[in-house]
Amino acid sequence: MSWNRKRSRFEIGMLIAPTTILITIMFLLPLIYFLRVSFNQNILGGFMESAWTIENYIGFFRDPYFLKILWNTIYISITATTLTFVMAFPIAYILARMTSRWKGVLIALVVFPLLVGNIVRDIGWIAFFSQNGLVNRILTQIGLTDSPVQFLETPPAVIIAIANVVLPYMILSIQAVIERINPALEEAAIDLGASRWQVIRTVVMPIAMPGILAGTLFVFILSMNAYTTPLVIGGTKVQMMAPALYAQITEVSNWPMGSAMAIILIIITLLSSILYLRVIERTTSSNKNTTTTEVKG
Amino acid sequence: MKRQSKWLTLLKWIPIFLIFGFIILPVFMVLWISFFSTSLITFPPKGYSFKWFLELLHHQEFLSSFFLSLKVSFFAMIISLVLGLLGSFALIRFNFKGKKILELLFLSPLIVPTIITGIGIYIFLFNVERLIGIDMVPNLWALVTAHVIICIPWTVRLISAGLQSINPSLEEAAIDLGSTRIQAFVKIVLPNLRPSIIAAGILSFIHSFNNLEISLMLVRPGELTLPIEILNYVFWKVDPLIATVSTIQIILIGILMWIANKFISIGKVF
Repeated sequence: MSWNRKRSRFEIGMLIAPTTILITIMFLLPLIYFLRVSFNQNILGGFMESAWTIENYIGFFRDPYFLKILWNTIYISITATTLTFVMAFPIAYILARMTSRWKGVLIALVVFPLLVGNIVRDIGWIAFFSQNGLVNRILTQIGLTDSPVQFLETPPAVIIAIANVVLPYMILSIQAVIERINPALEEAAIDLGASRWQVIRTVVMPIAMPGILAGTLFVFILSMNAYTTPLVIGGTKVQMMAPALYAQITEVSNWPMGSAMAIILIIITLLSSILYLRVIERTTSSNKNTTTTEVKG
Repeated sequence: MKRQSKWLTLLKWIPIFLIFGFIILPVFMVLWISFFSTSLITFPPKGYSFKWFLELLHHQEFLSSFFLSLKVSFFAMIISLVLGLLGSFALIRFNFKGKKILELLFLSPLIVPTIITGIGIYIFLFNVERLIGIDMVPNLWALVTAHVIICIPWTVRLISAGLQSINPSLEEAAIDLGSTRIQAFVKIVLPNLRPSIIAAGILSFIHSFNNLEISLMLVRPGELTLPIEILNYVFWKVDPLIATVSTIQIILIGILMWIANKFISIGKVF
């Protein structure tokens, strides 16, 4: 028995070791190194000097330029996540309840843009939003404006482009949970006199909550981490954390500040995710209470 | 009365059509402008032509970066498949201490911004290089390894899901009948896992092929991956030529997705 156990332990080790070692060396260690560099001292015009200082963090939170970038990142991510949820829910619901052979086609249609890659889609958005792009052409044609409107390098364009990137994830994760809800539940509620909207709000939404949570959270994290879209669509006017920290390292060659920004981005994303889960937990549990009291009343 | 309700249902479908339109809008725009005849993009176009696709043959940089991307993504796919297969097998078939932590570790590259992962790998290899004096960055294998890191979460997730649906008693039966563990794995598990492995391979290939951030610091000047080559061009201008490059990428990925869809339902992947 003990021999057998030892043997299987050896086997597990052999199976697990290559991936674990690779991820530890090439992913975890570099992240820890990032953390270390963020406490180093930047030498103007030179490389950094080894130190233990929180100067970079203080410098980040004192500089309105950096705070603006952080604020952009957060509010664009929240808005994009909300917009995505509003668009994703009806699509997810319809896909989940669909039985025709078109379902597969529609799902492929949802997934496809996701796989095409951000830079390719951003080219499409530039052709759509630029000064002589499609939108401006339509606007001038119908006489809404005389001179072209600036869409690129504005927050709404960045939000729309990011929402477009993350929408498939949201649709699929909500669709997956709605699919598992028995349609008989909804029919029962309708038979008992509930309206469609009531059914969705009080029957479907609460049961689909895990999928909605997972979807919104993942989409929020993806938006916070977005690189290509803010870089290409946001340009220099709407900066977000990921491209800004890359610029700190490669253009300004301030490695400590770039590293500090990376750590700040990771920590703020983690903290807001935890906060979000807490808030949702609280509001849904209080919701449950009110519905039960309503029923009792 | 009945007619009115018909109109109402039609009205209800309008937002759905709009959202679907929104989903495919950027891809549609790229496909559309790649056929514009003039270099300057104007709406409506002055005419349509295929000439940009021929013009592409004169742009060596796109061809060579396309092949570099193919090469990197291919190696990253093979390596991450092997690693994902081994790792998932241990995670699904055995119970051991620290299993949850390992699971989290394997999926963690999904949550950390890819740009940070890419810079991190660069700094790390740069320092190793200074320590031991062997050139490590930029180097094709450093680039491939970085791509492996971002592909592992995909292969682990997909292959784990596939393994979960294969009854372990099949392997046990084979072992009871006298085959070794490795024989059981090769003859029983691998054939049953085939759809998951193919899908995991294709999706990690696509994920690697598209990824721009991971390669930014790891490419050699003059030897860029396709997304970086496209990005550099877009900073300069957006014209039908760059749209045709993108169109070719769209077609390639469309074919790959169509193949993957034959093995697993693609909506279940994400």
